[in-house]
Amino acid sequence: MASVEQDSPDSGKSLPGNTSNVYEIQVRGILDDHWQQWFEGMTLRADASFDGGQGCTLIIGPLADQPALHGVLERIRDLNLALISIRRLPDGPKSPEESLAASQCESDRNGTA
Amino acid sequence: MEALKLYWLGLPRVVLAERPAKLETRKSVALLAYLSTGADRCQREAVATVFWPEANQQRALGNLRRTLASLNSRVPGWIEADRDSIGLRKTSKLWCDVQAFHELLERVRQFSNAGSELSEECRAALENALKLYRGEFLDGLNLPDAPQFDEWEFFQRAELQGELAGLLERLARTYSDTGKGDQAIETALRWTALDPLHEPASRMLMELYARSGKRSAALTQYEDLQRRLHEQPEREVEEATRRLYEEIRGQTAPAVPGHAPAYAAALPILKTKLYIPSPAPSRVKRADLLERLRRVERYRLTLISAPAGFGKTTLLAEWIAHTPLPVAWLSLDHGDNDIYHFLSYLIEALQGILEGVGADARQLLQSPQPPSPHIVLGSLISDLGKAIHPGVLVLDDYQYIVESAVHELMGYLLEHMPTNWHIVVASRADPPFRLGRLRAHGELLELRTRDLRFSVAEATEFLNQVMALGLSTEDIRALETRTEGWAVGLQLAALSLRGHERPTEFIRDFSGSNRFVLDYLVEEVLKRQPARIQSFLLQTSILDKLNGQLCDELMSDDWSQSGESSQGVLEDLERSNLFVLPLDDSRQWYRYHHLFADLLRSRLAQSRAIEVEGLHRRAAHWCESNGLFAEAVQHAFDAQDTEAAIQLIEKHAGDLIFSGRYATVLEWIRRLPPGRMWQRPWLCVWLGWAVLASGQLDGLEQLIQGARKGLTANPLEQPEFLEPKNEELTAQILGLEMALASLQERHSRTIELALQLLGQLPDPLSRQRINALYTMGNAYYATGALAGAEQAYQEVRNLAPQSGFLLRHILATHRLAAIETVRGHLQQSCQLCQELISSLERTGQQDFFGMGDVYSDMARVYYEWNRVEDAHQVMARSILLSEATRVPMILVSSYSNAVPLLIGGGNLNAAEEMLEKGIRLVERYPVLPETRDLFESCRVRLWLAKNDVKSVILWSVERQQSALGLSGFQTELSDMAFARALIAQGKLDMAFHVLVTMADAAEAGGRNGRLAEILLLQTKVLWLEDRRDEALGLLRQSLELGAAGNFIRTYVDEGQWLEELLRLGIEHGEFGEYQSPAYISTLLKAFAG
Repeated sequence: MASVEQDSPDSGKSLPGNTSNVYEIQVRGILDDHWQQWFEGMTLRADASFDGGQGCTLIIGPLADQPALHGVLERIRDLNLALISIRRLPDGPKSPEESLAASQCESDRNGTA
Repeated sequence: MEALKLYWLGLPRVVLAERPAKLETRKSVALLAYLSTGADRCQREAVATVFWPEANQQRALGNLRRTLASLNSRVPGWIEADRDSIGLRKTSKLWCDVQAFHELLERVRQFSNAGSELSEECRAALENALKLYRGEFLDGLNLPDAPQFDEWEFFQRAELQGELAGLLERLARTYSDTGKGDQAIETALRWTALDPLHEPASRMLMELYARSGKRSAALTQYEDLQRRLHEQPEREVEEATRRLYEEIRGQTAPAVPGHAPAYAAALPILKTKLYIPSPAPSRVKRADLLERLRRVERYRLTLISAPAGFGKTTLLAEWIAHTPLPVAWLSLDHGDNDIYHFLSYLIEALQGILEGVGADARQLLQSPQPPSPHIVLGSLISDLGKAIHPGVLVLDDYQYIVESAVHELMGYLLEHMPTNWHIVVASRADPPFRLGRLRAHGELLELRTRDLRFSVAEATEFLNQVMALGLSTEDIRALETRTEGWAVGLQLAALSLRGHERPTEFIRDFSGSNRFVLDYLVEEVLKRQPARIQSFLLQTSILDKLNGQLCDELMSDDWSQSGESSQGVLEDLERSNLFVLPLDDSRQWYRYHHLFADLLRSRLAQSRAIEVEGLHRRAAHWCESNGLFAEAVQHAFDAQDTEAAIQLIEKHAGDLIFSGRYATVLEWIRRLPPGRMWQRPWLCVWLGWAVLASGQLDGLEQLIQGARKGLTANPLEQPEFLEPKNEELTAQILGLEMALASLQERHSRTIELALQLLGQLPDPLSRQRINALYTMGNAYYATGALAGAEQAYQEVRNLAPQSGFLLRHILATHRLAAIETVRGHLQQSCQLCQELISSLERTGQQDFFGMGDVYSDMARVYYEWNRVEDAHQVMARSILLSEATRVPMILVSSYSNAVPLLIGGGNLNAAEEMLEKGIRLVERYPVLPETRDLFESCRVRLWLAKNDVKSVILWSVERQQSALGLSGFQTELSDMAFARALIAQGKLDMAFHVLVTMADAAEAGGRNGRLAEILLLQTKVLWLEDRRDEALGLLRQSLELGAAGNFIRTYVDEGQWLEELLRLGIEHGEFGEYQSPAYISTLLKAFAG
């Protein structure tokens, strides 16, 4: 039984200077509000127009460490939600709207997921 | 070549061109049988060793040549031989009844796999196979001078007899199922005759009698069985047999469940994990998938990997209903990350299909400090190896396993389980086994998400036939596309559509929506439920397992007036397909479908009307008063009630720890606020045991101090229920300290603590006390204090059986035998082993875990007494049993102990092979100092025997540098080997110096067995230096000690120089007055022979 150590969120040394612990997870379909509790401390943002009206939900919020991130991913798996993308948001305060816009740009760039 | 027919089942017969062929000797018959049933080609040397173990290699090969020549004259052209290997020509003109027997059984298996076991052909195959079995394999043929052959024959016999038992069982069933009652009874009678104590056979016979109206015969069969069992010590008729008897007698009390007391109601929860879900009657038969699953028995692992709700469990339930293979089922949950917990369920699951499997493993689990999980698993695997029939282990919900130790254990099981066992894993994520490798080797059968998706045809069958919705093709297509063939999605959609007035509209809305499928559909389904059911679903969603009473407890506010019962609601929900699954046949426990529960919980968390923590508090209370302690603690944590959780842990963690749930306790205590633990001594104690069992010693010291501090603190601060337990707390703390000291090899401290602890424990039979004694014995033994060790082990040996602690009894006896050997009292050592073996034979436990060591002790003694044949026989058994355990430490000592026997018999290659196996283990696993000592000494002895001077020199140099030399008893054997190495290199002065020091130590320690050899080596040095008179003086001293235990091989294996010296001594009248002439002449005879 490994003791849960505070794994520093910036363990990804490849991103110098990026100490953000805010993650953005994109899943297919629009989730009802009651899931907010399920992903504690994170906010849900629906994007109805994603992928030609298929819709997606962005789960955005701070996660203490890598195990916490894996916990969230596990929940997504357990609900049979289709995972589209996951990324750590860049440094600096950012409103959810901004990050939503950022992710939209990205998905436009990449085409459909 | 003329046609050759070999009849080995029964009295052996050889028929050449339809005429009996007379072979010259028993050995040639045996040899022909050996060649015809084994591998295609055998190495000459290997065959010679099996058949003429006593002769030296040259003579053995000569004998083999002669026998082959004689065989060739009787069955011309059939023997193939070249310089290295021999074999029997396997052509179409060869027929052997054993082969034919196996082929028929294989055909039977194919029939039964194809579901046609009742067909004429299958029955004919069974009958023909039965005809072939005229009697036991090579009836009446034994070779007393070739124990290896006899052993090979013994296993062939056992295997064939096992096949026969299976055959009779199957045939009796076939007869009975096809209405041939009398033939069925006749066959069952033959089956019971194989082993009159085998109860399944007796039960079948009783059933057959009863079914054909022969009630009194059935009852007599039972009474006979009972009488026979009474003659066996400690055997009772099994419960199932007794129940059958009572049923036949017509006295079964009708089993009315009634309102059981609370505690009893809670117990079956243990079994819910093993419950094989029964396939729902109204399901889509997924024929393609079932067809693919029929090949499970061709693969080591079958993996069903798909997200939640794709119907993995349902599919497996369906498959199990069809497969002829026995299936053990285990539904996993988070608790199974506790490795010992996992193991005990694994054993429990396997016991469901294989009687008695894992009995040893269970004993091992019950010791307060159980051995490593691999040891327990090893014992379980060896039991599986003994099973005649194949089997499948199904692990459902494997995604809950996150602990790498459990993954590792499963990986090991996959690699090492017998080839007729198969594992099926259902999981939402691929398990970290070496899937790529399994795939490459064709050992993996996979069903993945794409395979599990419902096709349009299946969706049609489900929606229109099973659910009778009468939808159009377009509607079905739309649903299939929207849900992507997801079983849960389709089921929810069907529930929403049931009784819907405008289904097409509903489907259009649903298809057009981009909401998460589950949200959309569950909302629809819930909307259709009455308010009280909605409330029930939400509130009870906090439970992993639901039980009527427990749900009543949670619903008491809602239902205090209505008088409604949760049991009824649960049954209604099950009936209406609302994602409630029964977990046992009696409908005591249920669970929600995982996805459905997740969804309900997320809704519950949002609901303002219901206080979730209050629900958990009630659940915790109910669980505690119903004996479900682990569940109670979990609910207390979920209720955010830390104090309640702590009190539960203080009260009940001990029970959990001693049933092996260390990891669970560890996790609980780590979840507590850090400061709290130090104020609660019991928490320190439990955490200490859990830490110890997990193999980490860090922080243990601190925990012990913490507990001690708590003990002396103001008793008023302690919870009331703990007060009278202060003595118990003291004992627990001492036990912890002792275990720690023992692991750190602080021997005198260990002894001191053990003595204190023994003073604290009044009950002489408690396991805690027996462990303390055993630990103390080990500490004494390690320091060479044989008397102290003897006393402690003796007490363990006396007490352990009474408290059912067989393992400790065996290990203590082994240690006592080892002590007697070291002291040179070989008779006593042998007697201890023999007594133990015969006492275990009475209960059929002579192969119990750890007995490999005991047989090995005995083999060494027999060898020393020059009873070479006996020694080899017992040693083969020791190795067999040790290999079955797969425990490195036990294996290393078994292999090492065999080496001197093989060297003495001149079989250096075999000795080398043994050591090679040992080296691989020693390099990878930690072994006890005394085991390493033995192993090292054997390596050197082999090099010396092979004249491998280079290895000897390298080893000696290393040893001199490593400062390991001469640390007394613990390295005495390798020190002796060191002295031998020095002598071989001509470093006589140094050798003598080393030996003098050793002799003093051995004498002071009363280790006369060792001293005899040390003095002998000194004698050799003097002889080489040509100091004959002094040499004779020392030899005389050595022989005095040797005579006491009748040591022979220690001397004889020295060879020519000693024989010469011995004769010289006799000439000089050196031994006359001191030595028994009989002993001296025995030695001389042994030299000559």
